[in-house]
Amino acid sequence: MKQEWKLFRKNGALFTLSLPGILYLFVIAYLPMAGIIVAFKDYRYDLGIFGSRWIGFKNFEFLFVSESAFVITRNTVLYNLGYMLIGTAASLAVALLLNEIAGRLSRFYQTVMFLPHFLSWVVVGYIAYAFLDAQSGFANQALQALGLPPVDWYFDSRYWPYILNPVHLWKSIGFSALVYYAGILGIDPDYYEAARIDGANRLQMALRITLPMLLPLVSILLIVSTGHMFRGDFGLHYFIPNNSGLLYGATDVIDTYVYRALRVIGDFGMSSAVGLYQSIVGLGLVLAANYTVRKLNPDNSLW
Amino acid sequence: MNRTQRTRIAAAVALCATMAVSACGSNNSNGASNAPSASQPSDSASPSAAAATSSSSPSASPALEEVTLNWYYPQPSAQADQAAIEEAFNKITLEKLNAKVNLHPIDFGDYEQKMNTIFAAGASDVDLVWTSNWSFVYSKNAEKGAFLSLGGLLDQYGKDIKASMPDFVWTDVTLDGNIYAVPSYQVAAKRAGLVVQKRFADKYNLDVSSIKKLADFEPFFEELKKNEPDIVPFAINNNFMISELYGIVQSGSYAYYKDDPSLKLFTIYESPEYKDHIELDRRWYEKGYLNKDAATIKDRATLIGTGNAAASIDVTMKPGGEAEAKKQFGGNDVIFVPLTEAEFTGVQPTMNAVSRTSANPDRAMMLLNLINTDSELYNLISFGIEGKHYTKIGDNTIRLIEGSGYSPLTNWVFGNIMNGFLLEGRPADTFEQTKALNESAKVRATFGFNPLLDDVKTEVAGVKAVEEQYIRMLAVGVVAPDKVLPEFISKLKKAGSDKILAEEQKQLDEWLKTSKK
Repeated sequence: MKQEWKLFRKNGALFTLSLPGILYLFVIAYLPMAGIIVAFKDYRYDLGIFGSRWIGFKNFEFLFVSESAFVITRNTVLYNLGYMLIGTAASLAVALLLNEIAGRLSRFYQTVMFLPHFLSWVVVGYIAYAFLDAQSGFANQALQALGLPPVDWYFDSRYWPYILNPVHLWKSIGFSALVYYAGILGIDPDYYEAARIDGANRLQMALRITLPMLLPLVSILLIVSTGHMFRGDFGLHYFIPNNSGLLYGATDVIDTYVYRALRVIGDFGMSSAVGLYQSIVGLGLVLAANYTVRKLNPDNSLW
Repeated sequence: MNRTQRTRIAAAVALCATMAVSACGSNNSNGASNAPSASQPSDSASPSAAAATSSSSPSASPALEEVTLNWYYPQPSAQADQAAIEEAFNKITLEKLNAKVNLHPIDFGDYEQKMNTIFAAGASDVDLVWTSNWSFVYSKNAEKGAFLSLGGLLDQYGKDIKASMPDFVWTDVTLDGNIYAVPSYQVAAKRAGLVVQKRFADKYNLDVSSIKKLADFEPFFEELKKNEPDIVPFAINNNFMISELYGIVQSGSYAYYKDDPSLKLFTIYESPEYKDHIELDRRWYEKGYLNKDAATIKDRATLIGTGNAAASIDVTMKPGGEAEAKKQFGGNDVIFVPLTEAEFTGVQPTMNAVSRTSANPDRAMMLLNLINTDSELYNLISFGIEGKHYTKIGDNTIRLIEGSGYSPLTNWVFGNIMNGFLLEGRPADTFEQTKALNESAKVRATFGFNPLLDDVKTEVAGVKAVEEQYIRMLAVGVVAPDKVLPEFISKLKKAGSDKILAEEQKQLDEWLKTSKK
């Protein structure tokens, strides 16, 4: 206790800086924890959270007894894996390239890539529609110009893994590349100087210095993202496929399924149950991933 | 259930949690302080309120202390002149009720979700809230305890509304012996049929009298397809089965044959009639009568608005509705081709309730009473300000000013439509026609039966998800019924449709026993 107090005294300024963040987390993430109880209740407005009837795990049932349980779980996990791996690889590559081109041009690229990050999925959905519309979409016009038959994109699920992955990448790459780029800027220039004196070329410096130095950052971000493994990106999977029933086999994730099942009944207990389930599995995955990383290399783990 | 929404719900839950904790302590004092304040004005208020509405003498209002009311209701889209309307609205309510009313319009698409969230968060500032049987559902929310029972309030402050509507209106909104909402009286009967552009009906000699069912339109659509390459013969975006045409009464997830005295329920998607219908859909899709993008567009209003759709479906066909339909069809004249007899649908499609959390329920009821009886107030919120948003062209008929900053066209949200103006083009006797239709319409055998499906909610959720996946694509013909329909039915069964049906049948049998007496 005394030691901790000392630590606190020593880093007082830093703790003060983190105070708003801690407060934010406390209010947004920890205070509502008590509300988890709703997941086990038949919630009524007039009885309130604590007065409502306790019904155990009944709220969870609908997610697991459904025919689609397997499909939506598989889709959620596989898509998230895809987003994670493709996203990490691509944004690392972009960050390395950004580092190589210095000056104004690099800032221009950053801005251009960052822009989609601010678009809502609804807007992106319309952009995608402009590409994929059966009659007047760019994609079909291009196909026809090449003498190929047009494709009914919204009716054929085969293409969708190859559509959703790039769309996700397009929207997210600006942000994650920026994170890695900032990581690169934080690397001590002395390493590069020493390497240059030893005659290393740029590729060697990128592969032997930049990448290894970024590894802890990469692994931490990967560990954190495993926590979202069971959360489908609702906006992406609802708006980009235009909620077309024919595509569910390839696009349906837990979040879109839950939306469909509960939109009309609007049961708070059942939606809280899904959130709780996803959070607990996510926590388990984060712990497991962190444990694995710590076994491999303790320096790269989150804690 | 996207992430922001979940955070919002989480935040709401947090609020609830903290409030519940603090409410435990303050509830008593709150109730104590509320009780006198609620009863105190009521002694003095009831005569003054009556005076305010009948003679509207300004001297009567000072007896009421000034309060603020919050009214949540839906609108089609944001209105540029909302602030001006609110100001004018408040001028009247301050004078007559000494109440300031904050209007909270919410877009239709978001209404249910937002109200659910607001009520989950405790609905602390809601006094009046719009509800219906199709969005922010009345029976469900009343059952969850969202609304105040209006019995006493209606007798005390709502005498005028109570007298202004026929008795069946009040029977229809009674749940378990309590009235929780004041309906906005409008057409309470529906006839389903097709809306057809007059220019095409005339050009291709559509003989309306010979048309009895959907398939009778085929020769007409065929002509259109052949001769009008730019026109979509029939614009749809979802299921358009008119079950009455097949002698079936459908309500939610169950259905029964109209002439079956035992009222044996079945799932409509398993019936041969449904199969017939989607085979027709498929045929029409393949022949090109339907819009190709029917499976992916969110609504058909855009397509219809271009004037390039020759016909579409309408499930209400209210008297004089051609004037509005003309607007929707890009200004082209239309005719209604009703295919069914008028059926009584009740008044639940649009109502306003008092929130259980309202701090001034008596004043909220006075406002409801006022808006249902005071034409000035009602017309203001329904149509805007004269000269700015509409011009009067007859005693009770108005013409909307094109492109003005206020035209929600939802007079049925706010109150009794017979209290307000008629839109240009509607026959002068529209309200008489409406009343006559309401009173002559046939009442279905199960009218007033609302099954409670809490015990099978797991199955309900599963079935809903399956329905959302299949109904639309079968309805718009993009898939072959012989392959997809069996798959749909088997998934419904696996999700538990039979269990829901059994529960509904059980409740229906009990309901029949008690309601027949």
